Formats: sequence, structure tokens, C-alpha cells
Amino acid sequence: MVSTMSAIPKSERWEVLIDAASIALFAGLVLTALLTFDDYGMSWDERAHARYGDDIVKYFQEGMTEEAMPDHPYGGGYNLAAALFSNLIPHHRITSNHLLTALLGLLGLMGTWRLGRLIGGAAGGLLALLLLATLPAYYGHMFNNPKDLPFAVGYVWVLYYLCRLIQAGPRAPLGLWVALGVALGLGMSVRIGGLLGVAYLAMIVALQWVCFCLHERRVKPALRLLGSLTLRSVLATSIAWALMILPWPHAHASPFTTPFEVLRRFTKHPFTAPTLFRGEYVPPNPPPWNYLPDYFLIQLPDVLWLILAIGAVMLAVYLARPELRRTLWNWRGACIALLLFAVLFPPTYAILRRATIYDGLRHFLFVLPPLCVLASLAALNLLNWLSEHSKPAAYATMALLGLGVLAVVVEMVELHPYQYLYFNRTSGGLPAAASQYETEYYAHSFKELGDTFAERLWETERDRYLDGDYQMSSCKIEPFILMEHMPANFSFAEGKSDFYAGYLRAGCIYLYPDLPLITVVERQGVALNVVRSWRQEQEASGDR
Amino acid sequence: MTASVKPRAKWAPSPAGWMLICLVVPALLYIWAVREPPPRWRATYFDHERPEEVVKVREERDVNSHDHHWGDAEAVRGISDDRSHAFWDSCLSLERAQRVAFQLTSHDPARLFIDGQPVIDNLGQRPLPRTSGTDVSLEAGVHHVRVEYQERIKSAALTLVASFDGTRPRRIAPERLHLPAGDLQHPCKAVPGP
Repeated sequence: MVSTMSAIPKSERWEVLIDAASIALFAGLVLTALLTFDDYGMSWDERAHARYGDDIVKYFQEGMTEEAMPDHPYGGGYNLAAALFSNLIPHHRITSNHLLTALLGLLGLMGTWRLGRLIGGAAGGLLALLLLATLPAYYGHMFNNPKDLPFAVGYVWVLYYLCRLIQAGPRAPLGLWVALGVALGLGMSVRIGGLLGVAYLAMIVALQWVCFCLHERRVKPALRLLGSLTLRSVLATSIAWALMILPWPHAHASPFTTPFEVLRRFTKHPFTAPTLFRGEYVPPNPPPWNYLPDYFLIQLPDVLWLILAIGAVMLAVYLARPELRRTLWNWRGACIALLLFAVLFPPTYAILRRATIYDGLRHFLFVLPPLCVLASLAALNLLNWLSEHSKPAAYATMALLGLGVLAVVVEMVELHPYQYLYFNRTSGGLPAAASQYETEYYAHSFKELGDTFAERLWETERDRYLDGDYQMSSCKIEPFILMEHMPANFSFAEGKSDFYAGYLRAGCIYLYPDLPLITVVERQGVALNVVRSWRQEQEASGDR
Repeated sequence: MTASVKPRAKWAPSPAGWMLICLVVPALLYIWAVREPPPRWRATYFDHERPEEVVKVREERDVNSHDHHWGDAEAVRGISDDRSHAFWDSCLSLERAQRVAFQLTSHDPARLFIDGQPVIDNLGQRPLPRTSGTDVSLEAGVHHVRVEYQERIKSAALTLVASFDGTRPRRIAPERLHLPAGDLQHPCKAVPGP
């Protein structure tokens, strides 16, 4: 082993060591996910998505008949996969979905590492992996978000293969096109917005051809290349289309029009419930223009923003100075341009198009992996530049960035399993955001609430618990959200009941402040969900 | 002068390959470790028009499985959802004499029998599921557990939980149960003791 390592030049030895560190970090993440995925509660959308998956299976089992057509009109790639995966393990359906989503999230981390490694070498990969793994907005959605998270995974793999395509040039091997088609198809099968990847592909192919024409200036090879690129693009898109349509029953009858109809509807999603923004409830369709930028500003860690700001300054310097600008004219520069476009274009388009946006930035989770790759490249460039001028300054900066990341990790542990409630320190953190912004919108604290509350009742009134029922009411949730996490002897009731459970969304937690508080779920001093008792009031009025 | 880099052996995975191994191997090990245990309950379904006629006997994994949170759907494919009748038998193995807390929740009537004796009679009146529970003292050995259920109309639900150690009642772990091995009258006769 020693002799092998000594045969490798120092820089390559570093690459091997850094790769080993990436693999070790990833292995740690896999273990953490496997040990903790059961801590996450059911989110709002999960029940409907689980049913849709079962309906797709039934649709195929019953011979794809019109009668068996599921109600859900959107793509069902994740849903079908989750339904099939649930047959592998005996867990409750929602729990098995959490495991699958966690594995997909890890696949997204792996894609981000590969993308970072492709452009920035082993260190770029390690940094990209580290930044995304410690990004609470991504990690917190990695277990119970059945739509935005799987789509983000598809998006980063599409970007990875597009960058490989850019690296390989116009003569990219056929296998790469097939892999790109598969990545595109899996992303599009989750959300039709994955068509963006096809648009990126068209842009890249067109630019490659134009560059070839400008360089060669001969008609025959240019036409030959145009034919070859067109054929390969059609192949990748056909694979993607087939993979998108297969798990999408509604598109089977009209596979070429349904996706575009859904895409048109997608930006004007008919969601009308007001959403909390800067302490006021605002309409989601459309929200104020600064809704999305604000959420990005306060939900991304300070250290990430610092790196991105430095990266932006460095890029401006590179673009301003011709001798530096020239160094960007290569496949790496093209990949960075693609990633910048892939990060900035979708949110900008949504704001300009006045699209429906709610629940903070969760619909735009997909820009986070490429954002982390860009940040990793910025950090890497900064450290390289510093080490050329002052090694101590480079080490000091590295330590500072490490501390910044560590501070985020500490907060993620504090928030577990609600990492998605992270707000950066500059904004005042969760305590400051709780009354100003959307926080526990996914309602998954009902799991912890149900467990804690049932344990308490069992300890304090065992006989009543064993041989009786309880009724619980709540506020602005579907009954299944609460009942999913309560034992069988609890029923949902409208209005006054034995107990009231209220979560942070829509101010439900603040209702009935005079009723005795029985159970609280809190993080960082902020109550996320409570149980209050109506029993004393009922006993006083002789209701029960 | 740079020294030559020893190429990676052909069989050795690339860094990406290692990463994939890190993801796939633990996931597969986990799936293997939690794989579904064999069925521990024998379910018997009766015809709703001729209540004495058994229409289906099958092995099931759990009284509380999703199959029996029927909602408004049919209990088992091919068996009417309303006015049906079923029971589940299993053999509970106890290493020592102890008190066990049983709790039965059902939508429509259900009863729990231990060794042929009724211990819970849950009326399960609509519109909501109802819960009844009790503590039962049991000797060490194998005990026949039977849950009887009478589905009337519309919603159907059935949940049996138990506590063996003083903690909150939960689903009975499959390790404690054995599939009946005897006839309908003595279903646990041939089940070996703990």
C-alpha cells in the first residue's frame, strides 16, 4: 500500500485521499439516513402520492383500462417506484416511501459530487457533496418530499450528463446520450418541468454545432455533424419521453399533447391558500416578486452565501480582465455557464411569469444541487488563489469555512428531524422566522406529537387509555394528517372534543390559549405543535 | 520528473463505483434485515348470505395489516365488503406467566378470545371506531388468540394491540406468534411451546 502511494505524484495522491474522504463522508450520510429515516413524519402530500402510486399499479394490473385510470393527472414516476418499492419491506407504506425518498436524496448527493468532481476535480466533488449535505433545505426534504426532492435528483443528474456531453464535444459516445436520455426521462417522469433539460440539450447541441461550423468552415462536415447531433438528440429525447410517459396513465391516450397541457397548467397551479411572508399572509398566485428571493436569502446558510458572494466577485474579475477571461473559454467554462443558467433561469422565469409559489422555496429545491457545485468551485478557486499568495491565509480561510459548515451541522442536529425549518443566523434563525415566514408547512411534527402525547396518556391514565377512546380536533388540516400518527383509539372530531392539536401553520398553534397545555413539540425554543385539553371545560359543562 | 502512476486494477471500482457500493450495499442489507416475516395469522372469511359457509381461508401477516383497514372497500378481493364475517387465529407464545394488556379497536363489532374464553367484547358502534381493552393473566406456554369481526355496512377497521412489558400497547411482534398448526377447534395444539 505504501509503495503504491509513493509511486503516485503528490497532487494525484491528494486526489486519491480527497476521493477517499468523499466516499467516507457519503458512507456516513448513507448510514445516518438509514438510521434516522423513520424519525420523519408524513408530509401533507404523501398520502395522495402513495395512493396515486397504488392506483398506477392497479391500472396496469387491470389492463390499462379507462375505468382503472387514476384521478391524478400528473406524471407518476416516483409514485410507481414507491408503490413497487413498498413490496420489498414490511414497513408502513409512508415509512417505506421515506426510505425510498432518502435513497433518492442520497443519489442526488452522489450526482452533485460527480458534477463537482467533473468540473473541479476531487476537491470540487468533496466540497459540493459537503455543501449540499449540510444544506438544511435539501437534507430536510430528503425523507418526506415526494415531488420536489425526486425532481431535484433528476435535475442534477441531467446537468451532470449535459456537462459530460460538453466535455466530450460533438463526438460524444452513444452511451453518454443514452444515459442522458435516462436521466432526462426520470426527471420528467416526476415533474414535467424536467422538459427544461431538453431545452438545455437543444441549446448545447446548437452551440456545439455553431462552434464547429465557425472552426471548420466547411459545409459537408458541418451537415454531417448536424445530422449526427440531431439523430442523437432525438434518441436521447425519445428515451426520455418513453420513460416519462410509461408511469403516467393520463398521458397514455395522448402522449404528445398531455405533457404540454400539464406544463401550461403547472405555472398556474390552482392553489389559493394564503402564505406567510414577512409577517403577513399574501396570496400565492402570484406572491410578491420578492417572495422567492427572500426565502432563498434567509433559508440558505450564511456560509454558503459568503462563498457565493466571493464566487460572484471572482467571476466578475475574470470576466473583466481579458487574460483571465480567456481561461474560461473551454469546456469547464461552458459547464459553469450552464450551471449558472440552470440555477438562475427557473426562479427568474417563475417570478416574471408570476407563477404560483407557496411553502417557501420548496418548489425550487432543484436549483440547490447545482448551486452547491457553483459554490464549491468558488471556494476552491478562492483557496487556490489564497494558497498562491499566502498559505496561512488559505489555511485560515479553510478553517473559517469549516467552522461555518460545522455551525450549520450543529443546528441541523438541534432541529432534527425538522431540518427544513432552518433559517440562517443573519435572519435571526427559526425563533425570528416563526411569526414572519412559513415554517412547519409540511405538518410532519404530528408524528412526534402523536408519540409523545400517547405515551403521556398511557403513563398518567393507563386504565382509561386501555379501555377507551379519545377524540381529537385540529385546525386547517385534513383529518388523515393527524390520525396517521395517532394510535387506533383516537378519532378525529370537528369542534370541541377531548383534545385539540394545533401546529404552527396558519396560526393554529395560537388557538385556545386558555386551555391547559398537555404536550408541546419544540425546537430552538419555538413551539411547532401542541396538544391542549378540553376535558376540564367539558367536565365543568357536563358534556361527557 | 513525475513518477508514473500505478494504474487502478481492472477489477477495482472507480471512486464513483465505490460511492455506488456505499449506497447500494447498506440499502440492500437493510432491506434484507427487515424483510417480511412469514405469516403468523390464519384468516377465515365467511359468506355474508350463508354465515356458516367458509368462503376463504388464507394465511396473513397481521390482523392490523392494511388489508383490514378496509375503509369502504371490500375486505378481501371477491368477498363482499358489507355484512361479512371473519376471524383470525394465531398462537401466542409466552416464556413466563405474566399479565398482558390487550386492546381491540374496531369499526363494527369485534371480540377477542384467549384460549377460547372471551376477554374483550367491543361493540364498535358507528359512526366512529370504538376501543375496549383489558389485562389478562396468562401462564407460560402457547395460547390460542382469536379475533372475531362482524362487518356491517360501509366503513370497516380492526386493530389489535398488546403490551407485554408495561409500555404502551403496540402491534404484537411476529416473533411472539406462530401460525396455527392444528384443526379449527384446536389450532395451537401442534405448535411447540417456548
